[in-house]
Formats: sequence, structure tokens, C-alpha cells
Amino acid sequence: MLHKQEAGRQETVKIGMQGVHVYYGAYHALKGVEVAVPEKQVMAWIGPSGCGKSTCLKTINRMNDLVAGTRVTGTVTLDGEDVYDPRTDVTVLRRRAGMVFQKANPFPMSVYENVAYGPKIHGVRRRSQLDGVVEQSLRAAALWEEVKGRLKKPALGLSGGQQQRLCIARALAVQPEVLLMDEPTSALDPVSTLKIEELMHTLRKQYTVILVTHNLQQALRVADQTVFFLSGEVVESGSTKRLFESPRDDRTKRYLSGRFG
Amino acid sequence: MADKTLYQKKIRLGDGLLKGSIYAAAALTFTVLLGLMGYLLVRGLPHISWGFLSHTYSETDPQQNGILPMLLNTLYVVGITVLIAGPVGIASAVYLTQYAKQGRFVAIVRFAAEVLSGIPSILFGLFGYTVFCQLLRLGTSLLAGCLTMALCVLPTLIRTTEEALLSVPRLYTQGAMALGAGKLRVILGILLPNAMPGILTALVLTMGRIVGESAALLFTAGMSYGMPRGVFSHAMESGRTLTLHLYQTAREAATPDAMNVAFGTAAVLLILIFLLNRIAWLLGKVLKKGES
Amino acid sequence: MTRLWKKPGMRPSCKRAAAMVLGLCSMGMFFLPQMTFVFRDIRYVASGWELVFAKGFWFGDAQEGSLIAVPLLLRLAVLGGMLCAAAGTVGLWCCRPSFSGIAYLLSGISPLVSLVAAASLQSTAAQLHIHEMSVEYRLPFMCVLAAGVVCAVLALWTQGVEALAQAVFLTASCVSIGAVLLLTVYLFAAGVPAIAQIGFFRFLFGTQWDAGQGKFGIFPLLLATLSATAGAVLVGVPVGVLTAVFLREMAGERVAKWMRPAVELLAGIPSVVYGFFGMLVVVPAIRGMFGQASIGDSLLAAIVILSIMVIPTIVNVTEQSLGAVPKAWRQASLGLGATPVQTVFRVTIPAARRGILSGVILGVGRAVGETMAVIMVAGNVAEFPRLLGSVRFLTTGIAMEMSYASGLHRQALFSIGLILFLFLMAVNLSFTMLAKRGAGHGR
Repeated sequence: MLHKQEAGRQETVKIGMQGVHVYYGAYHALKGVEVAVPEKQVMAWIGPSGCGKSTCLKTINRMNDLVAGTRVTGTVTLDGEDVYDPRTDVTVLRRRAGMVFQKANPFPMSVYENVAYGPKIHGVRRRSQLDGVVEQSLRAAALWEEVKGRLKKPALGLSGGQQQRLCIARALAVQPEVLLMDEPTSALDPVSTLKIEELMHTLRKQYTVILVTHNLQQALRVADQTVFFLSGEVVESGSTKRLFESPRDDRTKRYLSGRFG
Repeated sequence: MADKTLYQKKIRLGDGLLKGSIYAAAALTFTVLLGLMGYLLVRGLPHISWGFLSHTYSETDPQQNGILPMLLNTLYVVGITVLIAGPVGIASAVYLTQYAKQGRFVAIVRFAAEVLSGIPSILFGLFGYTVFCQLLRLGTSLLAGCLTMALCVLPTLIRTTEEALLSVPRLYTQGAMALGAGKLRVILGILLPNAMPGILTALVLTMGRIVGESAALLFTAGMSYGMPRGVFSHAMESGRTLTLHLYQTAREAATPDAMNVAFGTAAVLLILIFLLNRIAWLLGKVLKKGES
Repeated sequence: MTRLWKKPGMRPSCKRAAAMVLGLCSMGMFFLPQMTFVFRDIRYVASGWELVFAKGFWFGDAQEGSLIAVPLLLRLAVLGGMLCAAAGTVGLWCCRPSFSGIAYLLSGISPLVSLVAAASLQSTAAQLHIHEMSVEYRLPFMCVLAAGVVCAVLALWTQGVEALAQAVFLTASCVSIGAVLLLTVYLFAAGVPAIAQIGFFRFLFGTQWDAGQGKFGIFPLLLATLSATAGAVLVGVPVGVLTAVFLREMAGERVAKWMRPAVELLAGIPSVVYGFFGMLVVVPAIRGMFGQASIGDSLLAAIVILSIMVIPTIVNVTEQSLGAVPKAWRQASLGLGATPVQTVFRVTIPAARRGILSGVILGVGRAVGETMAVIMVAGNVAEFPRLLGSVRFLTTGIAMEMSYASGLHRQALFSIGLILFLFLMAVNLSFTMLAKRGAGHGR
């Protein structure tokens, strides 16, 4: 793999995708994608809209299963284990690979209940333990100081940026290893976007993050690795610095210079 | 909470139980409801014949066991009620959506409609009996029954018609207004024709409700089973509808033959309701096609 | 030249002239014979004038006759009708078409009021043991009615078709408010006297209902209605909600496409048909199951039938509100590793609770108000409800006895109607309040 040679340091592959094809009915959405996501780094997936990057993200935690008529071939692995193996327990997979959606979608419950939802689902009952997890997750999402006085208030009363960070906290509360972020800032104002980008810098210490974005500047700011998608295929991947400074593929060059997309 | 491997399916007892209860509930609902329909149709359909539909009925003469008068009475009640409630309901829906300022008046009418739709039909029957039959001196007659039924169905009719009117894109009416057409012309020429499938659906559903109603007609329309003596004068005569006929024959039946009349009537009612439902469904499909 | 606005005031037009002439005619009807009262063999022909100013009708011979007074309402209605017609005509003369439209309409309605008032004359006559009294209405009487409506239309028409149309639409929506007001007022007017006479507590908590002995305590009936409703809700709501969950979340689109119309169809089946089914299947089944303990016609049978009847309503409403829950919440829950079942019970159903609650209210309303289905399976004995015993409900009490009741008994039936009405209003309002409080937690 390209980036391994470039980076020149020893990395373990957290998520691997080999020859992944996705079909929605007759539509061929992904055409043989090969990606290796290194552990505890932020990897950005860029490309014009409709290029398949969100689809690819959803094949990792099998959210594509929810769309009727979806067919996936090829292998997707998490720590070397095949995600699409018949023995796989999807709920375990999704707990280990948390997801943050494009539009903030907190539940119509209190702030506390939102964060505690995941741990409760996975069997944490003790109040003291829940309290600890909630505080820890909110701190990790840099939201604790803002909401500690109104944990019992409805989450839908928070601002858009706070809601998105609450969703990140909610995802962190189940102690995932991977965070799949699907354009998490596309619906936010610049100030909230900045806060979430800062957050990503701290998250990389503990988590493997995949960030789908259409904002090239964002990828440049936060990502260690970048992958460029075009019409369902991976065109080029490598360290962010290398890819932005000296793209090897002509299509990448044209995309980065704003010629299309 | 930490799971090292993906390859171990968790066993969730609570999950399975809840899933089981969902399937059990659905199975129960459908077996009971389909069993009910199946039972009544299997027992009732064999008794439906041309003779059954076209003969008169008499409580004293077992040879006369047709339901023609009851069919006609049901037709009368449905027809007259729709003639009374339809225009009033459509006109008030037009007023509420097109003329009234969205303020207190609309709120009052909505509240009134909601209250009216929550009142059990037996209370309408009580009201209709004293007001229409006694105070307005209509006696126990189909007309009194129809007036009672009109009150009964008005609220739902207004609400559904309102929905149909609101689903017409504003662009259409505003476009016509911008061309200088008067409000009435826009309503008659553009709004109502475009909302017509929706309004017709509302009317058909109302018809279904009228066919099925019994408690409101018990005291108002009466129980006689004679044939109409005149097309118009029959409105002033007492007459039992199919539902009341089923009620009466089922309660009074002493012989299997008499019970068969009840079975036949129940099957006819089910078929009528089914047909009206299908018509409403078809209209709904036309509506959807118009939208896309 | 056309102007953007019209000057107030009216040009003389043939509509206006016709309305005024017709209005004058309508006033003239006041002096023509309007009603004929027939007491056994005596006929009184009364004009509007006489109806307003005559003392009453003398009945019997000079020594021991009695005077049947003309009811005040009748006098007011006839006089009011004439005055309204006059006001309408004057209004048109002074160029106030909206005012005169309303006035004419009122004069058109006045005969309907007289009709009601004349009927009460009949009941006073009945108190004097004159049962053969009848009232005939003469042509002028009908003319006031027709002329009033025609004049109102003409008067409003002078302002143009638009104004007329608006008035017609407004009148139509007033009819629906009027109906509710009338019904409410009527229920109170007819229901309160008997309660006052019997005593509120003796009526509501009296334990015996026996019209023959003049005992009017509706407590057994009330209890029966409450327990049947509670039973139907306890069975129908869980089954209905779970069925809706099945249709919306578990069943494939192909299965749901067939089942949904089936449920809708079932919601429309006449209650008599449900009662018939109960009579033939449920009642014998209970008789067979409990042998000596029950004759079959029982509270249990009513609960079974009511449960079956409320399920389609609850399924329809619940399914709609489940469908209205945003997909994003479902995705978020699944994305956290929740199973579909956990998602349904912890996210989707709580988010749809307002809709489900309104479905439950509808179900309660249907169960409380149901008459004909339960009359056929409950046995209708006015005793304290036992699960396997025969019971009578508030609604069936009315339906059973209305045809022969008279006097206080009859009034008591109206009081039952009032209690039923108040009970349903209370249920509706408390649920509305509950839903509002619950909503504070959401958006």
C-alpha cells in the first residue's frame, strides 16, 4: 500500500477494504475500492458529491444493510476480522465503529439520556457508572463545560454545533475504536466547525477517525491521510501533505485545483 | 462491554421475547379480524341471491325474507344525508381555508368539529329524536334520520375536505389570482376541481360511515320494513336500514331460516363497505397520480 | 373608467328593488292567517298579529273551560320575524346591504323557532288532558321562511357575487358551530332537571336502576362502562400498538401493502356486524368455557368485542405516528449498536407517544360510546358488573329504554346522555393536557 511506503513508519491497519463493490439495485455505486485505514490517525475521504465516499463509509459499520436492495461484495475487515462474515454480530461491530451523521440527530430526550443511551443499550445499569461515562464522554467531546448545568434539559434545545458535539459524545460513550464521521460539519457555522475540528485533533490520540468531507481545507487542516474518490473508485491515496502538494494522478490535480466537483 | 471479536453472536433474551410478542400480536390481530370476515362471508354469501336482494320482507310471513326495502332505505339515508351534509361541509371547509383569518373563529370551528366528532352516535340519536322527530314534528322518518346523520358526519367531512383543499398547491390559486380572477372564480374554477379526488374520497368514506351507522338511526329513522309507497313521500316514512335490519333479525331470530336472513344481511353490509373502501382507495390513487 | 376601489353606496338596481318589495310582502304576511290550531272540534285560525297579542286560546265551554296561553317564545318569534323583515327593508333603503342580509336571514329563521315553540304549546295542552290537539301551518307562514332566505340572498347580491359567496360559505361554517352549541345546550337542558330532581349523588352513586320502582341510580351502569372500557384498552392498546410496530418496522413492504388496507377496511365495519359476530361466536364460546358460571352474555364478551373494535383504530393511528418519526433517530440508535427491537422500544415508540396517545383516546371514545355491538352481547341486566355476569352500560341503558320511557324516567335517560358527554369531554381534555405536558420534553 502506497501510504505505508511513503510514511515510512510502522503502522497497524485498523480497517481494510479489498475489492469492495456495492450495488443499489442495478446501480453500481462502488467499483472495487481498496483502502487501508491506519490505527489512531485521522483519515479524510474527499471527492465530489455522489462519488461514493459516504456509501463506502456505511459499508464499514454495515449501515447499508438498512437500504433495501443493497448488495456488497469484496472484504471489509476490522482488526483483520471480516465485517460481512455470517458469524459477525452487527451490534458489536457498530459499537466498535461509531458513527456521526451529516445532520446532528440527537434523540428527543434530555442531554444526559442521549449520552447514556448507548451504555444502557449495552447493559450498563448502575447509576454511578452511567454518570461517570456521561461526564467522561461529554468532556471528550468538549461539551461538558457548556451543558453540565442542564443535563436534564431536552437535547433538541441545544444549538446546532452543540447538538453535533453531543452526537459525538453519544458515539464516544459506547467506547468505540473507530469513529466514522459523515460530513459532520457540513450543516454548521464556521465557529462550530472550528470547534469540531479542534476536537478531532484530540480524538486521534485514542481513536481511529475516518472523516468524509467535501471541504478540502478541512481535510488539509485535520487529516493525516487523505483518499480521493471519484465515481465509485479510489483514484489516489496518501499522506495529506503529499497528496495536496504533489498529486500523482491528473484527475486529483484537476479536482484539487477546483476544475470539477 | 468490551468485545474482542466480532464473531460471537450475542444472545439477547429480552430482545427475543419482545420480538416474539410483536409477531404474536400481529398474528392475533390478523387471525381475529380475518376470521371474523371469513366466518361472516362463508355463512352469509350462500344466502345472497337475486331473490334475497329483490324481495320484500315481513316479520309475520317467513316466505317474505328479502331485503329490498332495507337496501332502498339505506340508499335513501346515504343519498339524502350526503345531499344535506355534503354542500354544508364543503362550503364550511372552503370558508375555513380560503376566507377565514387564521384566528379565533377558525379555532372555534375546529374545536367545535373536534367536540362533535367525539360524541357517541347514541347521543346524536337522542338529540335527533327530540329535536327533529318531536320538536320539528318530522316524526320517526327517514328524513329525521338523515338530518341526525348529517350532524353526525359533518365534523369528519369538514376536516377531510379541508385537508383536500389544503393539498392543492398554492401556486395554482395564486397564479389565477395574479391574473385578476375573482376569489369565487378561483375557488370554483381551480381550487375545487383540483381538490375533487380528495373531496370525493371524503364523501365516499362518509357514505361508508352512514351505511354502518345504527345507534343514531334507532329512534330517528325507525324500524318499519314496508316498501316505499312513493319516491318522495318515502322520505317522510319510517324505515329500517340494513344495519338495523341485521340488529333486529339477529335478536329476534327463532328459526335457522330467520338467522339466515341475518347472515345474508351481514354479508351484504360487508360487501357494501368493501366496495366503498375500494372506491376510496382508487380515488386516493388518482389523487397520488395527480400529485406526481 | 375603472377604479381600483368602489365608492361606498349603491346604485339603484333591480335586485335591491326586488329584495325590498319581497321584504315588504314578508312583513305583510304578519297580518295574514299563519297557523290553524285544532282542539278536538274547535278550530282557531290565528294570524301573526293575533299570535303576538291574543291572550291564548279558550278551550271548553264558558263555565269550566281553560285558557291555553300562547307561549312567550312563539310570540317573540313571530314578532321578531316581522321586525327583522322590517329592519332588513329599512337597511336596504339606507344602503346597508350586509346588515339587511343578516336581518332578512333572521326573519327567515324565525318560522323555525315558531315551529319549535308551537310544539311546546302542544305539551301544555297535553297537561290539560287535551290530547287531540294539532297545529297546521298556513301558506303565509311558509312564505315568511322562503321570503326571508330569498331576500337575504338578494340583499347580499347587491354587493356583488363575491360578497354573496363569502356570506354563503360563512353561513355554512356557522351551521357546524351552531350544531355543537345546540347539542351541548340541549344535553344540559334535557339532562340537568332529572339530576336536580333525583339528587346528584343519588343519581350518580345510587346503586339501583329500576325504572318501575322509580329508582334511578346509574352507578352500576357507570361501573360497567368504565370496566368494559378499561378492559378493552388493556387488551386493545398493547395488541394494536405491537401490530402497528409489526406493520411499520418488521413486515416487508409486500406484506404491509396487503395488511394495511385490511386494517383500514376493518376500521369501517359496522358495529352491528361486530355485535352479530360476538353474539354468534364469542358468547357461545364463553358459555362453553365457563359452563354453569355464565350464560355467555357478559361483561367479558363485551370486553372481547370492544377490544376487537378498537384495535383497527389504534393500529391505524399508531402506524401513522410511527411513520412520522424521523429516520435519523433510528439510524443514530442502530449506529450505536442497538438492535432493531431496542430501537423501536427505546426511540421510535417514545418519539411517537403523542400520536399513540391520540389513538388511545380515539379508542376510549369508541369503547365508551359504543352501543349496538355491546347491546347484542352484554345481556343488559342493570346489576353490578361481574366479569362473567350480564351487564348494562350507559349507552345501552339509553338505547334499551328510550322507546317506552316517559316522565322522570325519560328525563333520567337524558341525564345519562349528559354524564356520557361530560365523561368523554373530561377524557379528551385530560389527554390533551397530558400530551401538551409530554411535548415539553421533545422539541
